[in-house]
Amino acid sequence: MNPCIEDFTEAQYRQLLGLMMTTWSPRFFDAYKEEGRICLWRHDVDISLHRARRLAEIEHAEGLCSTYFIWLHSPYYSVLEREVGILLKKVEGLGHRLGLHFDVAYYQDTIGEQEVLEERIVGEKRLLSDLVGCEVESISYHNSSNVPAALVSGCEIVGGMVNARSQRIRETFGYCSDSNGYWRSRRLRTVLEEGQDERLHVLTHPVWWTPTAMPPRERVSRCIQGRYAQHQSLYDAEIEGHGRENIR
Amino acid sequence: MNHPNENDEFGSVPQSIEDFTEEAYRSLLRLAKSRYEFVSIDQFSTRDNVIFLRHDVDLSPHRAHALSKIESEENVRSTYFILLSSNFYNAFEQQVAKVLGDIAEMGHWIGLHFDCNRYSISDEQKLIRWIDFERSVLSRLLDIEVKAISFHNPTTVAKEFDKDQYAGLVNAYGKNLMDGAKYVSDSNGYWRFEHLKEVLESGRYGKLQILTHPEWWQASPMKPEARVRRCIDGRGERTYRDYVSVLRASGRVNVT
Repeated sequence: MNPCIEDFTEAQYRQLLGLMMTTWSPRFFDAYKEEGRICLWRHDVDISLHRARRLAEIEHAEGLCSTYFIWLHSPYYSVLEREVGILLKKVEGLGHRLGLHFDVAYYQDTIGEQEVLEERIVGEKRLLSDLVGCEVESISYHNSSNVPAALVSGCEIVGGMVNARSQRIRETFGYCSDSNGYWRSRRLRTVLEEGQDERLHVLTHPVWWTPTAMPPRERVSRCIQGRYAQHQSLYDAEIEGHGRENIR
Repeated sequence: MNHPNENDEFGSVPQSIEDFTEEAYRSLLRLAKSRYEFVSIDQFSTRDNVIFLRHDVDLSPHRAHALSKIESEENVRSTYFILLSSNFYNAFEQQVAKVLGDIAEMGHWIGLHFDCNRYSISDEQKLIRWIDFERSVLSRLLDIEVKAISFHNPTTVAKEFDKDQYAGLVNAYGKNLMDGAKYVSDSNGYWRFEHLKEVLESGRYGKLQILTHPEWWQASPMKPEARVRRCIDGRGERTYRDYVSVLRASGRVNVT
């Protein structure tokens, strides 16, 4: 397998956006029934809101609006954290939309109980919406293999949100994803250059797109290390800000 | 008092890093329960010879879990104040929510540790709105009733909020509560004004509010900065292990 490591830089990302927009018109998920050559461009923010913000800026500069799906249960960030809250508002302020990245595995005790799950989904949607002060109109699933089929593919609308993984979207859009930091099936550049998909659904995970090329594992480490350094400096700043002794 | 050399005297209070171990914590609990009864915040004002033991969980739910188990073994109940806006943990994370749920299951009380800075709060109206939001989030997350609040970094804007209640929650820094009791805290990993052991042994106080931060209490002695590092390192390592195990479980390649 060629992981095409050199594809995953900010400069390449900007080029790919340009390529996409020569053939397709970008749309938010509520336009999924629209005819014509449209593209649903989405991000599942599993690991890094900082990387999401950077991609949001690049997209804004290139004239693209996309949807960022936020994972409340991420071990890598917390939506209630002050800095993350600021980043979410920045992304939304650039004209992008926020969606809910819903993790069924978190609700292990109720997997299979569709009604209960839908209540949880609506609860998370409200939380995100109240926190950021915006509408949340679409949903994607984290590790969707655990999700009851009816919720994944059966429903076009779940908890009042457009389901990004519905059967209709799957059947009426070509799909390309960067899951795990490489192209598992089709390479995005090829898909965009060939232009054979009438309608296109692109999924990226912001963690994979860095200023310079590096293997996927290093990209994840970069995020973890960045967070680590931030923790350390927060602690130092807090203790020193209070004029307290920082005993080492 | 155990202070083997000058370096172990943090600030003006003689103490040593050995004072902040799980074993030392258990000894303090035993000393405390021989003289006082441990109560919840809503029982505190109306009783005498009582301790309101509280933990502000700033950094580490895992350390909180360790302390809660020791307390449970010693038949002591305390209140864990959860900082939903912590930079160091995500209360919604599966492992964290499980740990917090375990603490509540053991019979400890759960309160809200609220950071005014998170929402740039400047007036009481805004304060109540966001306390209400976080109270509801925490209550639904753990399926419990939340009755108490403590403010994070109470020397900043929060110092102005000294009413006894906000949004229906009893304020651990409420004026009456603070005036009516002796307050001892381990902030920053050492006893800043008085050593808890001395306060307990003195028998001078009818009501004690004791604040600990679980990250300061470790299995073995270490300096405060090392205790914080241990929490941060542990989280980083665990996060990476989780990443690798998700890849493995999905049969995906870990391209390095």
